[in-house]
Amino acid sequence: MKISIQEKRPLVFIIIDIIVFSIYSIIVLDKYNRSTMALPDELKFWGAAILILVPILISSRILLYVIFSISNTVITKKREEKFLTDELGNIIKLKASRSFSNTFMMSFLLIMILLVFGMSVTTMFKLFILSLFMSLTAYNITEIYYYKTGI
Amino acid sequence: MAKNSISSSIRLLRFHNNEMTQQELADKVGVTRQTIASIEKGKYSPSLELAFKIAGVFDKPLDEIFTYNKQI
Repeated sequence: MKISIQEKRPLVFIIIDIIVFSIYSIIVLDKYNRSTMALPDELKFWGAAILILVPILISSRILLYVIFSISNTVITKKREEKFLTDELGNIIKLKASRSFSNTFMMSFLLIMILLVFGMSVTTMFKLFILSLFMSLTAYNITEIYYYKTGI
Repeated sequence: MAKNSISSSIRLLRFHNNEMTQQELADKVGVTRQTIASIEKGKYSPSLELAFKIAGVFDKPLDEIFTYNKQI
């Protein structure tokens, strides 16, 4: 099956996200389990954990995608396309962004409902990280879907 | 299966233009090869601007390249 670079890109991002989120979650959870914190410190800890995740995610996506792009060029002996996004790509990106927003919004509402029913603050932050991962995955899957089926 | 009601004769026109590749056409009109492939398969209806650019490459009027199929 022939896959275009436009379809490969979201696939690579899904793999990158799985790697980054898994490693980051293991590190953060390990750090959390080894410490005993009062509630204000716990809030600070999780707030910082989410804030640090964003730049780590962006930089690792850039770095790992560059590595993929170079190796893809070497393996396929084809240079990456001159225009990576055009009008079709922009429409697909908009639809993917909508999927991201919808998934995140639904997760947010679900987390709020669970909070009402007595879920702990720690679980709330863990679920926020999970919802971020799910939203990014929804974004990538939407991109693959529309590149496959068309608009 | 084609999704859109606009069909095109780009594939045929490419063939008659020294078997121009999708990539060559894509480079000429400033889009990705994937977009040209999607238009040919009827998976995507191009913008008016892109349609005019494609018509310009083949030096043909727009209605000779794109056809609107009425859906009843």
